[in-house]
Amino acid sequence: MKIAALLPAGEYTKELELILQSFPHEVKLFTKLDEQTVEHLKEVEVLVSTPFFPLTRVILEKMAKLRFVQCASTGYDHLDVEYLKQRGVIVSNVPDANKESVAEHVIMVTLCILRRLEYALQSTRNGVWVLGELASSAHELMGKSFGILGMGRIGRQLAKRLVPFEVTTLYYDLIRLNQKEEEELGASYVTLEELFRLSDIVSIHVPLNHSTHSMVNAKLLSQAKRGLILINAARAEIVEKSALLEALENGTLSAAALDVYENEPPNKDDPILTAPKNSCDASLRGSHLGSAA
Amino acid sequence: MKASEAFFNIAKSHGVTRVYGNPGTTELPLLDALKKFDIEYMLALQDGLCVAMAEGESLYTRKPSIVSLHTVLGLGNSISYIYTSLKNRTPLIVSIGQQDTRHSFHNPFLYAKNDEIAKSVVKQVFTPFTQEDVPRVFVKAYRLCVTPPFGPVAIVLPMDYVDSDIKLEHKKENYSVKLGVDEEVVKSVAERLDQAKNPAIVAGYELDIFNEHEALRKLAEKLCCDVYAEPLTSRCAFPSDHPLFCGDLLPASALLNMTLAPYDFVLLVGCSLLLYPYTVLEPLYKKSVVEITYDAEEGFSRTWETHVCDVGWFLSELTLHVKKRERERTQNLKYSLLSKATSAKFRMGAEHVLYQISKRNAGRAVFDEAVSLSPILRSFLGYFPKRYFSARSGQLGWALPASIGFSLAALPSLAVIGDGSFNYASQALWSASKYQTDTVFIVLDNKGYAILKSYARSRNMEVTEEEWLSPETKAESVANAYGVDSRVASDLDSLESALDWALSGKGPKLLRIEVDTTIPQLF
Repeated sequence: MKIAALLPAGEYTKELELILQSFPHEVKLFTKLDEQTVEHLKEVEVLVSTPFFPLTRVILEKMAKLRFVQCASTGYDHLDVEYLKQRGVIVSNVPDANKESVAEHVIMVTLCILRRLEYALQSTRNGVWVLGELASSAHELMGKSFGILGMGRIGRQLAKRLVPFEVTTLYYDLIRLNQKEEEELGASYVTLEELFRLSDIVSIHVPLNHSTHSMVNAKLLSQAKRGLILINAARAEIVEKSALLEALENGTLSAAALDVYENEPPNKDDPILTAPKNSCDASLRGSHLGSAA
Repeated sequence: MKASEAFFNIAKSHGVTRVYGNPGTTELPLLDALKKFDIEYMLALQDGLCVAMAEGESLYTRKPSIVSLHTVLGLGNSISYIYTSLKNRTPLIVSIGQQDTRHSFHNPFLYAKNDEIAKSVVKQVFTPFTQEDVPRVFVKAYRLCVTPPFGPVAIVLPMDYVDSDIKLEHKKENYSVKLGVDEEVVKSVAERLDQAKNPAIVAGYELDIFNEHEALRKLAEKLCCDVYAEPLTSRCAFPSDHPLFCGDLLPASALLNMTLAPYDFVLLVGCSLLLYPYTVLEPLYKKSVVEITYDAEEGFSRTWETHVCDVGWFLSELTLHVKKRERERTQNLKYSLLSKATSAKFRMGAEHVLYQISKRNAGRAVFDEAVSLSPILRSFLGYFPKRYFSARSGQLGWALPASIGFSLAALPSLAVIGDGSFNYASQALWSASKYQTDTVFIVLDNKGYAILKSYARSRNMEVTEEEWLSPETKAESVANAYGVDSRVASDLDSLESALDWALSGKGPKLLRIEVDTTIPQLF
């Protein structure tokens, strides 16, 4: 059986190659998706895939022998799952892959924004002392209302980690947790509109699908509490880009922390990169060895 | 007819069905007539407890109840309790026994100037001039009790007077007091409310005394404005589950001013701003304020614009005149409770314990004397009409007997008290057991006087570790001695099952819960 793993290069690459060599099947590791790789994939029956290398239908059509795809990630929207389903190819993901990493990441960017860390570091490095300004403009997380959009595995990990910060945790999901779970997480269920109206911070943790595409749109943002901080470490397409830019411009959002982009890496001229009060980072939320599947 | 019989005859016609007391020789001639009128004598083992039990009944009925005290000694034991009823504005007839007048000249045993002693803690003291006045002073006292502001009225009854035969007969006649509303004042206040960009309402205990919650709700909803409860409110000022409710004001003028700073017009409704500790700022200084109250004493005690009136009527008129406002709410206090409860869980914090109590408390009226934990208790158990009570005087030892009197009157109650409070009034458990009241007593045991430790710490005093701030007792053992079932919850594992036991079925029951002993920051 021919197996291929399509993973980005990293510190772990050599070690992983050694491990793969010990497998009783022919396993090959690829760290880029070029024509040569696609050529090899044509013979592959089992593929280990990640969101870093989206596989279009054109590529998948060339993989005629493919029987099973294991996503080394929680998300699987980098694959045309419907098409694979039609072909009878089994697709599996790792729902628990990076939940802790994402939860920690969200808390990190929240604290960075509230404490104005980026501004403080830049100012200090430039020799500008802004202590007085920060004293009146940096905020604590304690006492804030933290909204979690999507209470799946990641949302729950985030809620769990928010408990000692003494915030009011609100959440919205299609499925409400049972009372015991809500009590353990200290999270109160609200409607989607309430989540945006009552929260100081909203972090998105829903999967991207037909019903969540553009879920955070102009209408929803128009109901948000003024000065809301929006964090998106899920998928870019969940937030309507034009509405996001408008909300940053008109002050509905005091900040946005985006860890996901429609095109990764984003184009240099993408207006989202130059939008005011936007905190962009490379896609770091689930990427460290501890969370790799 | 004996004067004592005429006394209870007229009392019975005013709806009196119980007399609370702890008898002495000077009262026996009066009490000897009770059985003829089917009026129950409710015994407590200490005089002050009788006063609180009687007040508990009045809190439910909104009518005066009667307590019988044993001359100066019973009165002396009861002073702080009578003072509490005065501060709480609870109608209460305090009958005080007195020596036989025929030898009063000789300063006999048990004789004292009871009227002089009582007068500073009641609205007024009445002493019959003649034996014929004995039933008449009841009527006078009853009527004064229910003349706003409500409160206790004392009558001093010499033992020879009540034992005398009298000729005059009295029957109950109607008595009413109706305060008015000045239409021009209403219009003026409405205009200023309409001009205000961000008005707020501060509601107080009078709303519950006079059952005017509905009138305030309609006004608040039309104005769509924030509503606060007065500092240390002793009753439900505004239902805490209402989305417009923003919580309690803090009882320090500086903090109170800070909370109200964003508002350009403040309407004080049926409240009285209790302050403690002293802070340097004058409360509501240069603020645009209008106060409406039933209470003339409250009215003349303030320097800002105040109108003594029928508050419910005023609110209804005001609601007709003000313009409707719309506003998106960006906070809802109830959602913060679950997060706080979860945060406090593993340290056995009061937030978690009270959250668990709130889940199980189905309709019991809450009597709060948890003192240092009261702010947490108020937020978790909430304010609901005729379902929240505390002592406006700051007295300890009130909630336990008051909850018993409330349950005797009609409804199940839940006294949530501190371990310090418990020891002031533990004898009241005997009455709960004797009369099998449906009362649950929960003692939140934080091992001492946490409120004092908190104050001491805020003033950099070094007494927080002193033994005299940490007396430890086992409330469950005391309860057993008085015949009340009891349990202890000392950790998370035992908490939920213990609460299930305490708050299911009927009382009386006592549960001591060992809570986090961290000194709270309250000052």
